[in-house]
Amino acid sequence: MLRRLKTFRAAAWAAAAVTFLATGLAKADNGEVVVHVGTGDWAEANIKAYVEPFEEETGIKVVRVEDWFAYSELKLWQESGRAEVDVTSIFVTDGSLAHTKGWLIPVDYAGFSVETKDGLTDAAKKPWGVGALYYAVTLSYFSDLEKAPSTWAELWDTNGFPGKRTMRSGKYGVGGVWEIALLADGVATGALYPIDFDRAEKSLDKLRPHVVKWWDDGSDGQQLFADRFVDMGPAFNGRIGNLQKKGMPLTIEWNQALAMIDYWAIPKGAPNPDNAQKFLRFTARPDRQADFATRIPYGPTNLDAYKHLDEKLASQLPSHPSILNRMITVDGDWYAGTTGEKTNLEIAVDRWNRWRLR
Amino acid sequence: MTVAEAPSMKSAERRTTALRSAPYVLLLTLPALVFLGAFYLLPLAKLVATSLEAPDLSLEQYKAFFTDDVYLRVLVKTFRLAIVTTVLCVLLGYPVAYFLNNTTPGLRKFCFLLIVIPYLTSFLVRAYALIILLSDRGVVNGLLLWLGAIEEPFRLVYNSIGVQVGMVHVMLPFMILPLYGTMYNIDRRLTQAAYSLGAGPVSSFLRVYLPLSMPGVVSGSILVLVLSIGFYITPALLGGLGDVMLVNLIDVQAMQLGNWEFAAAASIILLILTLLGFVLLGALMGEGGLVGLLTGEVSQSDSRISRARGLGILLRSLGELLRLSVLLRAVAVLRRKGAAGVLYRRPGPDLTRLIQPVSLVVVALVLAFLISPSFIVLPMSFSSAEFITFPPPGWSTKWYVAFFSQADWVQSLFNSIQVAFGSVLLSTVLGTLAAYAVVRRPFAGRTIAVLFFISPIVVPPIIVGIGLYGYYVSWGLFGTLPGLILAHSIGGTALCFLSVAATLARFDFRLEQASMSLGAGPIMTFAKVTLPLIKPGIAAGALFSFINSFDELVITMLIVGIRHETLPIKIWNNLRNEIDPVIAAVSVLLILLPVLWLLLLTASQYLSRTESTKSGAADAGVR
Repeated sequence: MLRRLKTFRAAAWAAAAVTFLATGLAKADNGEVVVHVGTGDWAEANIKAYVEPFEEETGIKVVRVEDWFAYSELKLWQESGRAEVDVTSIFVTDGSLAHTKGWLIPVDYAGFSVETKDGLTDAAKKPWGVGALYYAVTLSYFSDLEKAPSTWAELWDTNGFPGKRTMRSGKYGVGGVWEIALLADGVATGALYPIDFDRAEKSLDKLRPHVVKWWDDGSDGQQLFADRFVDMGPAFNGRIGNLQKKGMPLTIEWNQALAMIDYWAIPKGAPNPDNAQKFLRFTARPDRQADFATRIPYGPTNLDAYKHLDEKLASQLPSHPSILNRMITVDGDWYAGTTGEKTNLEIAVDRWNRWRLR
Repeated sequence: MTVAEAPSMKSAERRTTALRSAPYVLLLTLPALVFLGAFYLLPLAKLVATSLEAPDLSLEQYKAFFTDDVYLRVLVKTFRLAIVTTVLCVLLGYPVAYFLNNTTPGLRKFCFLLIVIPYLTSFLVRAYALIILLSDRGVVNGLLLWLGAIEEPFRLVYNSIGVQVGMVHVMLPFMILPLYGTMYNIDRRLTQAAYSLGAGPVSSFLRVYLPLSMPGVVSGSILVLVLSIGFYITPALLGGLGDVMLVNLIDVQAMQLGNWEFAAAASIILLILTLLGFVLLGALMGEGGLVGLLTGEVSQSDSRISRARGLGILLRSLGELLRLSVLLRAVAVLRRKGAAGVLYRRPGPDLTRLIQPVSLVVVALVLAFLISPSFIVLPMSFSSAEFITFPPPGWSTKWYVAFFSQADWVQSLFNSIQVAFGSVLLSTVLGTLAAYAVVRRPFAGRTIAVLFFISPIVVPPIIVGIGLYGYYVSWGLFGTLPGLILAHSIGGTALCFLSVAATLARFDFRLEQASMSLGAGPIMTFAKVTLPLIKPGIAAGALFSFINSFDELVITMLIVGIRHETLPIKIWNNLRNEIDPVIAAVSVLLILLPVLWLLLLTASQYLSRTESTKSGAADAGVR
């Protein structure tokens, strides 16, 4: 009996929650903006470089949500007609896919100042999002290796460059595995897309017996280097930067690195779309982006930000002019496009599953 | 033969008792049915409709699954891994459960701590700890090298060995605790009777004790099997390229690609195949099937029937083999002694002397294996290094400071505890009542009822989460603590159901009759007689639902909203950014929780045990 009572109490809570939520919804769009700020160091940098100055300058309160974007969540928001956040940070492929489905509110570039607009790289100006930061999958290795690889082909040359290897997995379809395999096989930078999966798989076959672990997520990749389970392989530059900062003898090779961009975007159904546009405009400013880069080693998308940065730091950032042209930008739009009935992203996931089971 | 007589009579009598019990007992399943109906079946039905592309009723998604060899191969891999894990858990868990039932209360308490502690360390942290243990320069390889057993490091991780080790580590308590609960209620006089009738330790074990403990084996195996089928993060971290589980693929389809139609279809296929597997296995096992075994209706006595069938044959031949070897050994001993006079001596003591130390070593090794990651986590949490490494280069308490100085860490811990306790409460009540009713009274469709109650464990959480989302938003449960409690109770109820059912299977319902005939009402009888005796099963179920809630990530991620972040979500988000030892510190702090809780629990268990011996005067000599 008593226990039943507890169940009823839960139901009563639920009823209370309904009322609470209903009132919460009624007074939406009242001078606030809800932003996905990410987690950890990244959230910290976002808050200091963008959120707090934005609040100070505009008087609009920013509700900080320490979480990452998830595609499935965006889809759920669209189905329920109600988005939980006004601004989210979204990877190029997801953004491009969501855009084709009409799930994102177009960025109001007309409201941007001419200088800000001109400072942004072309890749950072998508109709559905403004580039937030550049990061990269780079060839990384321990500095004490006798012979250090400087190209993906050399990572493949297991005799010429001895050492234990890691490689990025293709679990998510996109993320570098196909591009790296093709580059290692000698495909020219300009000829990467559309991805020739057959050729990429043949190239992967050669490396396969020599790979200790194929990592899925950035943290796994970082851990492999942190414990020195591997000597060389691709990793996120930010992850290796973490380890370097903490004294590990690691080197980042920017040559042939795969550049990726995360974007700020506004989901359809956002409760405060106008404030969200203001926030996007704010994050594109060079002074803010420079401030951000001093806090976490990601590259500004507004190249004018480099005018505010000292050269020592700037030369280690993924969008520095001396680095940007050595890198290859992952073509998220191609992955979001279709071949036949499926998106190229779906095809890539499919091909990876097939290959890994061989 | 003679040994089987006694329980056979008991079982027959019990069955008639059960038949006589009033049909209103079945009403006890109602709370669980209503709850699971609304929070599990309804969302699931919606997803089935999605998978059929309602209202078109197209089978496209199912066809796509069955015509794609990738999915079929991964399906086979998934089942194979789950089955091997289950078998290993039975082999390793059985001696431990047996030991727990036959040792002193103090030692038992200690062993329970060793079993429970690892499960309060986030499974992500545990996976990293295991990687460190198993690596080329890890403890295991170091030991083997030092012993000279191997020349160079043996690859123990990032391959199928690593996956297997990781899976067994995660799953072992789900085997040990139901086994313990079942053995707890085995009438020890039966083994003694077997001895007195001339059976040696081996045959009395194989013919009396083992069949009596089968409900525990079955429920433990079901738990481990279904949980293994749905568990994929550990295989992904510890495995190699080819070690992929079906739920892994379903997850990518649902989360990354938003392909819910296909993800739902694949989940339904997984669910149906798993349940079908149970039905088939049951049929192979003989009359009453799996459910009969689980509910204790068949196992103990009808060995005559089951003996003729699949598993029975296997067990028997194993028994014969063992007995043959014992006989041969006895003959050898006799020959050496050359004395005809000792021919009458039983080989028993000789064998016991041989087996006991061996089984003690097995128990010690299993417990050491279970606790080993926690031993790594402890020093890691006091590391001065900025990331997880072992051994730590220096010592520091800064990660504890970091934890307590960040309000959101503490808040998330607080949220998790609230949700977990709420979920334990709800799951335990619903699961126990349902299990009691289902075991107590046979009825048409009991098999279906049992399969329904355990099915929430099989369905991948991502599917439940997606199904729940829409309802949660319209019911106003989205982003609320009650919403999280209810969602976590779906799996929790199923876990409690299984655990309690296994304990009830060995429960002697005549005790209830006795109590009622002495004037106690049904509620009084349940509270004073039944409840104390099935406590181990309930406690195990409560623990499982606690772990279930405390580690739940996938459903939570979808329905948590922005206000009530739980600890696993916080850890997960933190890990995605960087692996720092704060999570090790969190794990150590969490270890303090179960130590306290378990001390309370074992204390109450100890009390109930002494009490039941007192009140069980009618059943004198049971323990």
